[in-house]
Amino acid sequence: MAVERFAAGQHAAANRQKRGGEAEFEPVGEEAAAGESPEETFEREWRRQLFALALDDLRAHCQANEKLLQFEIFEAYDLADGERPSYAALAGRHGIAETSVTNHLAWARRTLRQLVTERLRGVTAGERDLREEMRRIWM
Amino acid sequence: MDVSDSVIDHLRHVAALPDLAGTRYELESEIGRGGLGVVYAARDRQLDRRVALKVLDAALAGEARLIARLEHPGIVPIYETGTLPDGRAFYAMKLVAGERVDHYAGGPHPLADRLRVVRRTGEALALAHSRGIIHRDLKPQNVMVGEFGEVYVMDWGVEAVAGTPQFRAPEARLDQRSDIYALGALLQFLLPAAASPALRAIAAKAMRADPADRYPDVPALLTDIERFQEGLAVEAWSEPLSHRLRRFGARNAVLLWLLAAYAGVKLLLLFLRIL
Repeated sequence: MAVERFAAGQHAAANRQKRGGEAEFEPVGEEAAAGESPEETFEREWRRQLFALALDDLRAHCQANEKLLQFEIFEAYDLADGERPSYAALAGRHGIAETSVTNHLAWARRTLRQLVTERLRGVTAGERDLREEMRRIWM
Repeated sequence: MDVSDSVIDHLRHVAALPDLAGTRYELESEIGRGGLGVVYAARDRQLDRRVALKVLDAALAGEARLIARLEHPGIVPIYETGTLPDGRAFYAMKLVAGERVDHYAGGPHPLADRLRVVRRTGEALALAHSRGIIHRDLKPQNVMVGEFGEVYVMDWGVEAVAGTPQFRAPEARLDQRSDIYALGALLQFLLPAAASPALRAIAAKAMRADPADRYPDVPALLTDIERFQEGLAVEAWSEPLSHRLRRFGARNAVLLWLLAAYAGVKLLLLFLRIL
């Protein structure tokens, strides 16, 4: 398993370079959570790297498509590393209806999922592998 | 972009939830995960009823169409199929209230009820096989016993799903005989510790390593179970004489008692005549 994941990571790195990405794996030894096996640490770092790249893609996508408001709301709510603001507070901050906050978040999450899928597609051999990876990521 | 583990966990949760905007359904809660996707409880706003909503991992609409072709009391009816805005396929089906067989097996259910679960499961499989469809991943977690005793077989596979080791036939290429193996494994799983050797033999025959040595089809397996329940000899087991006599005795108890009574009366009369 670890070898497969490592190979996938290597493949991912190669693909990132092809696409001009420059992000690299960070050393994981010092960050490993207590009681975590090397495979679990590797899996966690792999996910972190994958999401970091997909979030970069999402930001770029929003900038290119005039969806900065959606990204700002998504960043303020879903990327908050502590207490999340309420939908009402976000709506007030941006002068929009609460339902718009819901819709913008739904759009951003949907797009993020698609971008994660695209990233995974680049490092998997076919549809079956892709589904396996998707299951690992989302479950 | 640098993100913490807690943010990633949050993103994994929220981005995996199905976006049901534009559908008639409202998400309630997750109720299970199958080989190809996640099942949620949802409310159908138009008909004001609860349904089970299966969201597939990818655009595998084939599974829903496949099951929709199978109309049988043992197969959960599909109400509607659709595609989410993110491209994932989903289908709405009857929300079954009941117990999965892996939980059911631990209950104090009599043998007849356990065998009924296997037979109903087999009947659903037999119908699917007659339409050229195989389950691919039959196991206790995929069979539900409803609150009125109805039995539902769920999570029908379409593509190469790995299967569950304990219930998966050893052959690489799955076919109807692989489902027969899984049905045998299900029978074995449901049998109580003190089950008859005849029933164990039926399960063992269904689970033979070589598919050619198994029952040729599901009805043949079900017939053997019925034969057992009717007190007849089963195809899977060449029983020793002592078992055969015991089975004959159990099956013809009334006749044997009448014969014994007749013989007793005759002896009594003979005895009285001698006196």
